[in-house]
Amino acid sequence: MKERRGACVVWTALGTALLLASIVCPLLGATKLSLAQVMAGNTADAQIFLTARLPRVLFAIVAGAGLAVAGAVYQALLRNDLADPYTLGVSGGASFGALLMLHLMPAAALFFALPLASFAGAAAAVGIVYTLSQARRRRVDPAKLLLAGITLNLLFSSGILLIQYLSDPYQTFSMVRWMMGGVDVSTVRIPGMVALFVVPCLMVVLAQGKRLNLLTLGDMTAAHLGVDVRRTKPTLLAAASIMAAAIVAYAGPIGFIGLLVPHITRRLVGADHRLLLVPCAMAGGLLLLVCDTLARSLPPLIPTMPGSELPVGIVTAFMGAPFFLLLLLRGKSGRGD
Amino acid sequence: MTFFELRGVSFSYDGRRLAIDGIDLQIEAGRITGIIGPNGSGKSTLLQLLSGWLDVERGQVALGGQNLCRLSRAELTRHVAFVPQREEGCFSFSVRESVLFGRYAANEGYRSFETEEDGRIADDALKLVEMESFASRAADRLSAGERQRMLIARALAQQTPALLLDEPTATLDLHHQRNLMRLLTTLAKVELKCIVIVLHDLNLAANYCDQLVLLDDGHIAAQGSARDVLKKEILEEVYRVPLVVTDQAVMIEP
Repeated sequence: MKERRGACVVWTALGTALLLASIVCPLLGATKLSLAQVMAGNTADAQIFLTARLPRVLFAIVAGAGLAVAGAVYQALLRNDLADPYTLGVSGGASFGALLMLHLMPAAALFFALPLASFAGAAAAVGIVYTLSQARRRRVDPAKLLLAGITLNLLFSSGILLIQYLSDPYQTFSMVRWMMGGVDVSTVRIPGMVALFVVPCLMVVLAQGKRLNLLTLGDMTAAHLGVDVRRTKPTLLAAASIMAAAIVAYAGPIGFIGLLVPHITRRLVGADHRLLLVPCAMAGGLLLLVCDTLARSLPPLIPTMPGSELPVGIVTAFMGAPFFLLLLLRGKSGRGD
Repeated sequence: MTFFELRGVSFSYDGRRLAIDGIDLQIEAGRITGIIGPNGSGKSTLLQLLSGWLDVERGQVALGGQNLCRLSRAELTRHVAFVPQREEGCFSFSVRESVLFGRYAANEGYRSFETEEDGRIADDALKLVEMESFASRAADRLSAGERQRMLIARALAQQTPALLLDEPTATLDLHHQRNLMRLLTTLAKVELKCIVIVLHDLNLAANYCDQLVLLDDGHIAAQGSARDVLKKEILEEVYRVPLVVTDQAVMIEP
């Protein structure tokens, strides 16, 4: 009861913050917009708001929410609090799949082929990591899972380098930019397309909060308490991976959101996934939105910085990497706080 | 009344060596059945076959006359509670939350949060294992014995007619060993539950179990009352160690 009341406060606070941020953030950037002008409609400000800022804000929220929830699901299912789409090599696999598709069929970006290729890559990574974590009668060292993730990331990076080597310089440049991760889109079609994948998966995951709780105790205990592990676990893994893959397909690999956000929300509302997943999604959207706003707003303030903005993936990496090291140093991998 | 019935049950982990080899066994409700035997003799495997976690390779396990593998996970959970040797959670739940997990099957599909009734059942279960003052503690900060008692409370909160326990006394001190065995006796005699317990301590087994099953390398070496099973020649052959067996105790020969 007490936990639920505390969680209610966090839900409300995060919801309000997200709402405010999604009104304020699109006004900030290289060109400051005025809310009054935007509301007036038919002004230059309104044009920029609708074509440049709004799609980007929506994309940041959808991608942030999806990555954060995917991270929370991976952490619960693999029973490892250092797991997230990035550290497990899922983002790497998805990137490889997407780039391979773009290299072979540059027109793929227009169709579902891109997220599908991205999902194939993500599925390969998840398959390998999951198989490792399932080794029967042998507790898998959390460090081993992460090593597997690093190995997969290296493997997929090599594949990506190969594709870049084989591409023409212009293509290579756009691939390198894409690999930095960004939500700079100029049409709501892309966030819409990603939401088409992310929203149903989010629904599936949110409905399983109770089962996720039991699955953190291990497969055997979950089964003994009544969870149909053989059906629930693959469903949840697939949902998390489809979300992550669809996001990576259009935004590129954006690191650490899936790692950072579940940790922070767990500190706020506790480990109960029934209370955790919704604030996790909200906080993920909020964090990526704020990071992207920083990525848009900071460079113009620094005189020596070329270009008007940074890819948001660089911002999240600069923020997330020290956090990841901190978790490693605490030596509590595989356990919550 | 027969609760579990095993007919020609075999199981192997690797498809070659049989961990359980053609076992026939009847386990009654209203009694404590102790499973004893050396390390690797198949005790835990047998328990996990009864709980439905492992699927039999040959033969059949029947629960109240029904083939166990035909029951859904949720149905099984409403009949059988399982206390594992240990459990390592990866996130920090409170002791009460951990015990409330036992109410999952009872609420399956209806609501996502437990009712006040569930809370009362969990609190009663905690009281039975003398853990009521630990309710709001973090489960991952408990000692091994406290954790074991929490797992027993969770199984009690499931309110099932059968209770399977895998070496529940291994981490308990003498006081809590006696309390647990007395609690199990009450559950068997008063509530007519079917209790199956894997034990290493033969004296505890002799004192509290109504029926003993001695396993050796996947076979049943002996079964029956403590008096029938705990005989010097049987035990020495199975455990391969010289023993002193009296009416009161089984000891290793110094």
